[in-house]
Amino acid sequence: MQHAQFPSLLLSTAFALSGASAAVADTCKDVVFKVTNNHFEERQIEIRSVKFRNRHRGGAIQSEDVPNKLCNYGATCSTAGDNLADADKVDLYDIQVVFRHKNHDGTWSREFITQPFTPTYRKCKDGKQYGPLVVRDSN
Amino acid sequence: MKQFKKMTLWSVALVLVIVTNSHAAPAQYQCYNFDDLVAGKEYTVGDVIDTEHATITIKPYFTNGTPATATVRHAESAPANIAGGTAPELSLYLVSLNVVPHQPVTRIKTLLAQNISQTGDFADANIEVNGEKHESPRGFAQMNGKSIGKPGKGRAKIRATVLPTSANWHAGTLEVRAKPGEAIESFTLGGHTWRVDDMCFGL
Repeated sequence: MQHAQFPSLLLSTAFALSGASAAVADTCKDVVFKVTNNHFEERQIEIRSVKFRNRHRGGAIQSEDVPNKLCNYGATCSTAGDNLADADKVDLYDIQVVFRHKNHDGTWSREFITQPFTPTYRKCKDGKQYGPLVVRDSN
Repeated sequence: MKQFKKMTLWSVALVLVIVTNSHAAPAQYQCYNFDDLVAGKEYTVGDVIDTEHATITIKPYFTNGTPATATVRHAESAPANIAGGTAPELSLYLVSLNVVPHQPVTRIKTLLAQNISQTGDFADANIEVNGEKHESPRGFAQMNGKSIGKPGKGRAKIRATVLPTSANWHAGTLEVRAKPGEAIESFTLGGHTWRVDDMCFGL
């Protein structure tokens, strides 16, 4: 009886361990998103957050608030570097930048979002730089 | 015998002409040019634009099966002619346009433009005809030549000529033609950043 139970216990432990590792990935640290501002009206933009799909989460969209970053027209700017939960060694794709642009009267527009960008090398690792993503339009 | 062969050939040719003509351009097109929309008025998901020939409803736009939910998603009149018509045109952002003609039609054709993708290529686009929905990873251009439409509800063929027209845009014409004896009762197009103008219905 005991012999019969032992392999089962081993098997359940193995399943539990594999389940645990599938459920959570480590944090992918200091990830930078580069953004080129080619806004069609040559507006200054402010980068507000980044969205992407996380293969580890079944392709669910993950949103990451980044420290707001101003980016002038024509420039390529980088976010400060963020720690992305559950993303270490995970393929990230359909990356989108949420931004707003400066209106003619100096106020800020509402938030817009770029088209998805899927990099050639998708795997997240510490210090990874994604992009540049291009802001072209906001209407 | 020679005479007979000649006559047979002429008969075949005549039949071909008749068949071809029966599928040729419909007797008339009825068009909507989006010119009567109030400047500055935004339409979001669920809003309806009533036109003389069709009911147009703003619907979600999907990427990889997920609807875009950003609050900024909308459609509005834009004083531009990027789609290739005359200003104004309809500017759409993260939404689809569902068109239900007041009566079934054999053709729908429209001018449209689509903002280029992050890589400068054709961007993802949605289409639906008679209940069959598809995402097209390479935009409206890639839809050219495809057949669509739920069997029993009406199949149709797509003709799309969408080409780069400026640094940021692809533009051209998309036409959906019902298969002989069938009709189009519902038609949807969607994209991230796109324009539409001069939508015509063939009876």
